Amino acid sequence: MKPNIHTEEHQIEEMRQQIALLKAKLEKETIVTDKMIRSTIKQKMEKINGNTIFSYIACLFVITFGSAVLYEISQSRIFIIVTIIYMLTCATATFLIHRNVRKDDVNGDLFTVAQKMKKVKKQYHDWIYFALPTVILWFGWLCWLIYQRDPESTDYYMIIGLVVGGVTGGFFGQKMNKRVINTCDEIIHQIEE
Amino acid sequence: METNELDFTQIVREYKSTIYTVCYMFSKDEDEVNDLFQEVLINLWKGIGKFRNECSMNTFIYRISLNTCISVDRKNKRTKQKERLSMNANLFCDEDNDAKQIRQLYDRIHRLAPVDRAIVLLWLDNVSYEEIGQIIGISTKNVSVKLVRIKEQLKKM
Repeated sequence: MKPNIHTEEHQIEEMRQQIALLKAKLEKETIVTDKMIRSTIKQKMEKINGNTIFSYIACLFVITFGSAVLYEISQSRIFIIVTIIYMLTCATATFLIHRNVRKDDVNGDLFTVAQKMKKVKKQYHDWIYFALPTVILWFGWLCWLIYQRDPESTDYYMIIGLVVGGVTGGFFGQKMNKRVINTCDEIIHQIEE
Repeated sequence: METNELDFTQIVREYKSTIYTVCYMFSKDEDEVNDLFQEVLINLWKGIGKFRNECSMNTFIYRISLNTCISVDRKNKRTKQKERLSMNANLFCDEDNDAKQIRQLYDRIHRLAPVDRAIVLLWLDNVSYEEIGQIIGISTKNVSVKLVRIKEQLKKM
């Protein structure tokens, strides 16, 4: 009886060692996650492109509804024309930058995707240096126009409201910009890894 | 539990050997292992949101892996999948001493019925009877009874 127990214990011990061996061997292996990487990158690109729709809607809103309101408070045609040109510039820039964020590209060479994402990241990074000063100038001009209309009875509450709105908008815009840059970074990092 | 892609990748990295071991023991060849591996990952991705820390992550991973491997219709799955996730190791073809040892284990376990295979796999990985019961969906007592029978079978091999 005893030798049988020993044999059984030996067999079980051997199997335990073998399973440990198998796990240790697999631990050293890497998973070929090509499909998963591509699917994740596509999801991230969707996230980046989600911002464009918001930007287009915002531009369209300012050009249509916003123009009428801004004319009412600024009484300046030049200001409205400049605003419309500014909005169209923003929409065009968004379109041009996002041409490089195409989900179809992910099915091809990932190195090219990484290069394109680096470009998008740089463009988003550079865009803030154009957008921030121009928005400040635009707000300054609007406030000056309101003040100039009737310096005696300027509606300071409206100016304060505009400034608060502008700062809030700028904060969220900057956050959105940073989020896109971070997402680009994640894609680049994932590909390079 | 909210799980994003990065968390999921981290979980897969941490438990890849457990998942792959289960898939290996339930497959006939390398292609089938990779099919199963991918299937388990898909089910894990779908099910990870339901993980509520009521059991350990290891138990949860085992449950998903074993349920997938036991229930999957291999023939159908294989024809559907053109691209697979896989591991670099080819445990069916490698010729080194470790691979031979692993194949010896495979030959023993693979002769058992699927549920018995799952039980012995968990037991060899030092999972407690209680956890084995939770994973397989049977009582602890039933686990010990089944294990006695499985050991008998193994002895005869």
